Amino acid sequence: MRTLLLLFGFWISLAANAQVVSEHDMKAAYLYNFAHLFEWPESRRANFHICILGDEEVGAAMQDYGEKRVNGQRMVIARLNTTAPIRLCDILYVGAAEVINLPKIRSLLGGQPTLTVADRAPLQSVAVALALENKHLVFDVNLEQCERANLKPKQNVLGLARHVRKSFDSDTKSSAASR
Amino acid sequence: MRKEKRGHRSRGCRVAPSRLAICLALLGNLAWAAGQDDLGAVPFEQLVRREVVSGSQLARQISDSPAAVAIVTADDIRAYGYRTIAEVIGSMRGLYTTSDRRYEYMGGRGFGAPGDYTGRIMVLIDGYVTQDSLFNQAYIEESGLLDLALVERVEYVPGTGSVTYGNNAMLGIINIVTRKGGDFNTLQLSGEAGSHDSYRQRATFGKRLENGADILLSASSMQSQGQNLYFPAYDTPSNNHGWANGIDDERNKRFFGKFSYEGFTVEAGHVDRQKTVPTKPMKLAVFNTPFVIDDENSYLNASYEADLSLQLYSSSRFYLGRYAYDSRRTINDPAPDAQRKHRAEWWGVDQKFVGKWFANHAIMFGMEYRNDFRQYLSRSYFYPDGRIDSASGGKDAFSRNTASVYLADEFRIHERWRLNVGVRYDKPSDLDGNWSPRVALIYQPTFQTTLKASYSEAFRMPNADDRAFYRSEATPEYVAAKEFVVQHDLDRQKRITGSLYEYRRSKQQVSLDNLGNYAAIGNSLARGLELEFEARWDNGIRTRSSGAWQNSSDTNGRDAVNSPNVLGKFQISTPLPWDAVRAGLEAQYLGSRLTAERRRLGGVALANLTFSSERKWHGLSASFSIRNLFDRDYEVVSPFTWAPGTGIDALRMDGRTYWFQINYDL
Repeated sequence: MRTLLLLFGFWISLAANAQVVSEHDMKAAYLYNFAHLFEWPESRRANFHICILGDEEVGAAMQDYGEKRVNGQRMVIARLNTTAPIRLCDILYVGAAEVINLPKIRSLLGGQPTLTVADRAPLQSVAVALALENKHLVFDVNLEQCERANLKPKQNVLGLARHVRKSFDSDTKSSAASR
Repeated sequence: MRKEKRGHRSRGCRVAPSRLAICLALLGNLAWAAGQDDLGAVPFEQLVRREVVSGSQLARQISDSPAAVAIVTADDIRAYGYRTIAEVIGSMRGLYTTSDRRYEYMGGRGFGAPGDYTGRIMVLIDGYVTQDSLFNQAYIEESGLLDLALVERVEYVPGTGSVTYGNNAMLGIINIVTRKGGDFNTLQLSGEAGSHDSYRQRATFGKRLENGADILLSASSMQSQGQNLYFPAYDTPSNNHGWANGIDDERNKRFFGKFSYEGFTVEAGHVDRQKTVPTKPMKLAVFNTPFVIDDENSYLNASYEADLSLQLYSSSRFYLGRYAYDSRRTINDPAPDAQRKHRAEWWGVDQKFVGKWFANHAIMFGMEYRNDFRQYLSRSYFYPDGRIDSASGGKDAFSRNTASVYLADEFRIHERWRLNVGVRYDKPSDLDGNWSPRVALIYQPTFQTTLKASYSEAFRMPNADDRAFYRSEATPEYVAAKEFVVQHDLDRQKRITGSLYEYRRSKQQVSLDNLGNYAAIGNSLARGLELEFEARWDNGIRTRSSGAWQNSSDTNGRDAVNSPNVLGKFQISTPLPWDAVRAGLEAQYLGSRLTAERRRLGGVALANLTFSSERKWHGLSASFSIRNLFDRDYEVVSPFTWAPGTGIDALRMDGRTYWFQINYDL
C-alpha cells in the first residue's frame, strides 16, 4: 500500500508539473467563448443550449460551464448520442466521430440559428472549424454558413480566426491573419 | 519548496493509510491548483495564444465502466494475425485460454477451472449477450459467431458486470464491436491456407450509402483436416498405441449481416461448426473412434437509439437467440452409439434511458425482460442395429423468464471527482429475486491521470445444465469484487495501467461425497495485481506489455486448479523498411499451474510472429503468421479426471503452425 501511495504521489506530481491545457478543455472554453462572440436572433427560450455530439471528453469538459449565463440566458449543456434533437441547439459541437454525418446535420438544421462547430472538418459544411496548428487550437469561420443560420460574428472573433471564408466566395481566402 | 510540502503529505499518508482518500484529495488539489485555472475567465484574445496538449493517441475505452479496460483494435488483429476471439483474449492483460481440443476456455483472476465452459464471463457482440442458455458458454474459437475480419475492436472490462448485465457477469465482460459497412466500402474476397490442411474463404460486402445508411454482409467458411495426435495416457496396444488418427478435422460456416440507419440498427449472425474430437472426452468413450460435435449459434439483435430531448437518451432493443448442439460418439456399452441433442431458444427486450436533467448527474434507468422459453437437454443410446436403449438416456426440459430493473447514477461531486452508484434487480421465474449493487469512486487529479476504486457484487443463476445436474440443490452463486485502478498517460503516446483486485466467491457447489451429492456451501478467494504499459511512436512502432500476479484458492482453501500465479504478455509491431510490410511479434508467458490431480505443469513462454501488408496494392493485401514460433512442446490443464495417474490431467498442444492470408478488394 505504501509503495502504491508513493507511486500515485509520483504520477500526480508529474502531471502537476506539466503546466498545460488539454485539447478538450480548450475546446470547451472556445465553445463557451463563442456563445459570447456571436449574436443570435431573438430567442424565446429561457436557456441557451450548447450540444456536444460525438466527443465524450469535450462533453465532460463542457460540464464545467453548465451553471454560467450568456446574455441573461442560463447555459444548458446537452451531451448527445444521436442527431435527433439538434434543432434545439444554439451551439452544436460535432466531434470527429460524427463528422461523417455533417451533410445530414446540415440538412436537418436548414436555416435554423444553430452555430455548428466541428473538429477537423471541411469548412464549407460548418460555421466554425477547429484545428490544431503548432500546439495551438485555431479556428476558421465560414461567413456563408453564419449568414444561412442568421448568426452574426462579432468583429473581434473574425480578427482572431485563422481563415475567414467570405459569403458567396467559392474559395477560402485568408483574411488579415491576426497572428 | 513544493516538493517539500508534497513529501510531508505523503508521509502523513503512510502513517495513516486509512486516510487514503483525504490524502489523494490533498495531493490532487495541489496538482490541480498548479496545472489548471478557470479557462472560462480568461479573455478569448489570451486564450487563443495558450498552448494545448492533445489527448492520448492510444485507443480509448468506449464502455463507461470503473475498470481498467484492455482494448484490442482491428489494427492489432491484423498486425498480430489473430484469427479467433480466443487468440485476442490470450493477448490481453491477466487473461489466458485453455483448449481441450473441443473448445477454448477463458481464464483469469481465479476463474477458469477446467470444465467451466467459459461460463462465468460475458461475451457481447454490439450489446448482445452471446452465451447460450444451457451452459452459459461463450463461444470464442471457430464456434464463435464472428469472423475476426468483421471486428473493429474487442474490449475486456474486468470486474463484475451484474449491475449492468445481470446474470453471469462474474469475472468480466468481453465487448466486441463490429465494423461498419463503410469501413469496407467494397466487396472483399479473402482466402487463407495454413498448417494441417486448413483453409478459409470469406466474401464481405460493405457500403455506406449517400443517405447515411450503412450495410454490411459477410459469409465465410473454414475447413481443417487436423492432425494425427499422440496421447501418452492411452498408449496401449488396444488403443492404437495412443494414436488418434484422422479424427481432428473441423469445419464451420458463418453468416453475418448488419444494417443501420438513423439510430436504427438490425444485425444478425449465424455460425455452424463441426469438430471431430480426438481426445477421449469421457470415461465410457472409446479412444480413437470418431466423436463429432456440432455447435450452432444464431442471433438477431434490433435496436433503436435516440435522444428524445436534449436531456433524455433512450435505447430500445429486441433480441432473439438460438443454440443447438448435436454430438455422436462411440461408448463402451451394449448400446454403443451415444447421441446428444441440446436445444435452446430465447428472446428479450431491453429499454434503457439516460436522463441528464441535473447538471451533475447522469441517471441511467431501465428494464429488461428475457424469456428462455426453450431449454432442452437430451441423451440417447442406440444398439448397433439402430434400436434405442429406452432404459438409459434421459431428457430434461426447462424454461425461465427473468424480469429486471436497473438504476445507476453518475454523480459529478466536483470537477475531479465522480461517484458511480448503481443497482440491478433480477427476478427469475424459478428463483428468488437478486440485487446486484456497485459503487465506484473515480478521481481525475489531472486529465492524464485517473484513479478508480470500486466495490461490486455479481451473481450467476444455475443454468439448465446445472438444474439437470444438481436438481434441487441448484442455487445461485455469488461474487463480491473490490478493485482499485490507476491509469496514467505519461504523454499522448504512452500509458501505464495498474490494477489491484480481490474477488470473494460464495455459494459454490461442493462435492460432499463420492455418491454425487453436492451442496452450495463453498467459498473461495482470488487476489491479484496487474500492470500494463502501452506505447506508440510516430514512426509506426506500437508496443504493449503486461504482467499479472494472481493468487487464488479453491473451496478447500488450496491453490486453485489451472490458475497460474504469473502471466506475462509482450507485443511489439513495427513497419519494416520501405513501409510496405509490418512485422508483429508477440510473446506470452503462462506461469506454472496445477492440474486436477494437483500436478504442477511448468511455465511456458510462447511466441507468435506475423507479417502483414501495410497498405493495399491494386486492392490486394496479405498476411503471413507463424504461431508457436519456436515450436515449444507444452501442455495445458485438461478437464479429464477419470483415470488418475495416467497423465490425462494434461493435454499436449500444437507445435509450430503457419497461416497465409490474401485479401482482394474488387
